[in-house]
Amino acid sequence: MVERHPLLKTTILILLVVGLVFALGPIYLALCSASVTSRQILVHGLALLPGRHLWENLRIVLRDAHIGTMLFNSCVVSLIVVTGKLALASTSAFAAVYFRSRIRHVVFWGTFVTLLLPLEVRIVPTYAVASDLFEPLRRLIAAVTGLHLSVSINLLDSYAGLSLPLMASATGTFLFRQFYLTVPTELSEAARMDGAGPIRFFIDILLPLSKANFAALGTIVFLGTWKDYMWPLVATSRPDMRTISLGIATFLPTETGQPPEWNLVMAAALIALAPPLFVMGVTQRWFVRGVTGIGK
Amino acid sequence: MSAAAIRVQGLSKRFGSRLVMNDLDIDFAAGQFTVVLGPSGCGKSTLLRSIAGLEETDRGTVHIGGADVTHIPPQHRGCAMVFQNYALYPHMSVSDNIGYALKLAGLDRKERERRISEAAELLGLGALLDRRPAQLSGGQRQRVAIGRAIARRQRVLLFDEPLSNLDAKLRQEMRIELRRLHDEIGATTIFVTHDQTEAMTLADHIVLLNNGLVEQAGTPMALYHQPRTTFVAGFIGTPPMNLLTARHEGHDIVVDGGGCFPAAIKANSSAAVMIGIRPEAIDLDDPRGMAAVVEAAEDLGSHRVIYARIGQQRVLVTYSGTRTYVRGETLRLSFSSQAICCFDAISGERIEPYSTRPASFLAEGCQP
Repeated sequence: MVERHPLLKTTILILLVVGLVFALGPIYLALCSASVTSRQILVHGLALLPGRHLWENLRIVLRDAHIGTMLFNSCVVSLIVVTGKLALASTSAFAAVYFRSRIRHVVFWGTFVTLLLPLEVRIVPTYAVASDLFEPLRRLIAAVTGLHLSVSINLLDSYAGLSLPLMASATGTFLFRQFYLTVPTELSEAARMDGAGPIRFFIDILLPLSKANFAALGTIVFLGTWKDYMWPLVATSRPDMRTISLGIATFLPTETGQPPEWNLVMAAALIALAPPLFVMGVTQRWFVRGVTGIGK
Repeated sequence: MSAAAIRVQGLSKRFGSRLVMNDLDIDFAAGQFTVVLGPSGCGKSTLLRSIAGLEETDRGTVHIGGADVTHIPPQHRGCAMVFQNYALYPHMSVSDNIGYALKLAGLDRKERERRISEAAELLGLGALLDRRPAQLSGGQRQRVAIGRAIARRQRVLLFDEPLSNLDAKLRQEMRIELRRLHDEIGATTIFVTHDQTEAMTLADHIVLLNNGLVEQAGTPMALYHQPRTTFVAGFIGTPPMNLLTARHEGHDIVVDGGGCFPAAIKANSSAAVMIGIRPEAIDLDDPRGMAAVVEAAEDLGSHRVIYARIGQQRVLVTYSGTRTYVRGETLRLSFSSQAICCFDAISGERIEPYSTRPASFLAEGCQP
């Protein structure tokens, strides 16, 4: 329903503008503050107007040897998580929707319940497992057979360690499940009559139909992984495995007494913002379709 | 492509507490166009899906071309199917839709293209081969769905209410086209519908289902002229057969609220019966006929449908003459006793007359 009352129109316009200010305001502040000197921020606080030192600050940040590595790390981790999550979500939803099994609902709702357990809640056990992947298995073997194995794999400070714990998620499964449920059952029956098995149906029919969902979930996951701070902070100790979200913080002083260089922090933040912005720009059209459900 | 006979035996299926197929035994002759007809919920779609292999049955067997396919998956049964909502793959072009099954069957590109263009030609789809389903009208999508089925050259073609989403004019065109296609292809065809007009016009053979049971099976004319039950009588024909309550007295049948006529049937004296008479078999201007009062008349151009009452009973008469009848006018209805079907009033089953004496309806008592 679209109302055409002028008062309503004005209210909506004001709301939109307020929303926009809240969304773009911080970015504007970051842009301004990244373009002034450190001294100016310390004296006047965050800059409200752009200064003339943007390129200089960006150059200082980029000259830092680690920023390239960190950008690369963030890209690798984000791409691994995106790929893994899309693969897991689409196939698990496929199983949940198209295969009749007595435990189907148990499995699906079990997956769904993990929404209540985000990484932040289970960070300690996750860290324990990541630091020694076979720990739970070894305990089990020891309990059952009495054998004490000494195999261990440490995933900390590795791409696998950074990405695997973020990969499985109920939201992705749920998104794909909801989409698959809107695909008419007759389509899968037609495919069966045409001689397509489940895998063929998944690859030839479902995947092309859920392109928009892939773009939407992929974008969300990419952004989410890119800006994740907590897990990389816990799971990495070597500077060369740091991600960019940690990297921004490295421009803050570690010793008291040293003045914080906010202009460089802001410049680093701007650099960190560029890749997600690029991803968003590329997938935006599909993203909107996927989220609003008109991808077909 | 040779046609295959289909035989279902003892087929039963229960959805919750509802028995949608109750021990069905049906033979579908090879190369015939069989229409499975029935009201919604009678089990006709379930029967079709059981033959296709899309529905698991509780009991019973399905044989196609003599082979037991009860436990064989759909793709190996040699059936092609047209769905009610067409079920075209939305992301594929028309030619890919038609060719998908051929590709999966491992046909080489040349053969695939040959079959696609053949099917397209048969259905007039030549100009649409590169379009997506979303760019097609309902009728065109229907043609693509049919093309996809026939390009596979299976022994059996299954149609699940394929015309119900089309408008009346298109439906009529597609009926004629489907019949032509069947005559050209010659595959065993099973066509499910709730529309008796489609059944009458398309079928070599009709199977009328009701509540999961076969109510009657036979040629369209057999169902039309010799309905086995009052259900069949009321389902076939537009408008359907008139059913009037009556009593059987001696050798005569006395219509409630009207006159009587002689009919020799095997029924107890004073037994309650129903008599069935087709609207077009009634003469409405016979001086000896029984009185009926006109309630309304519909003029359809080619003929009129007159709604009248005999006592409390509604009677429909079709009339192709030019005279107009107005509300409140009294008609004099008569019909040949051969045009009448007698049914048991309780079981609804038809009572065969043991002799049909050619006689007309008599208003003034029945004298042998």
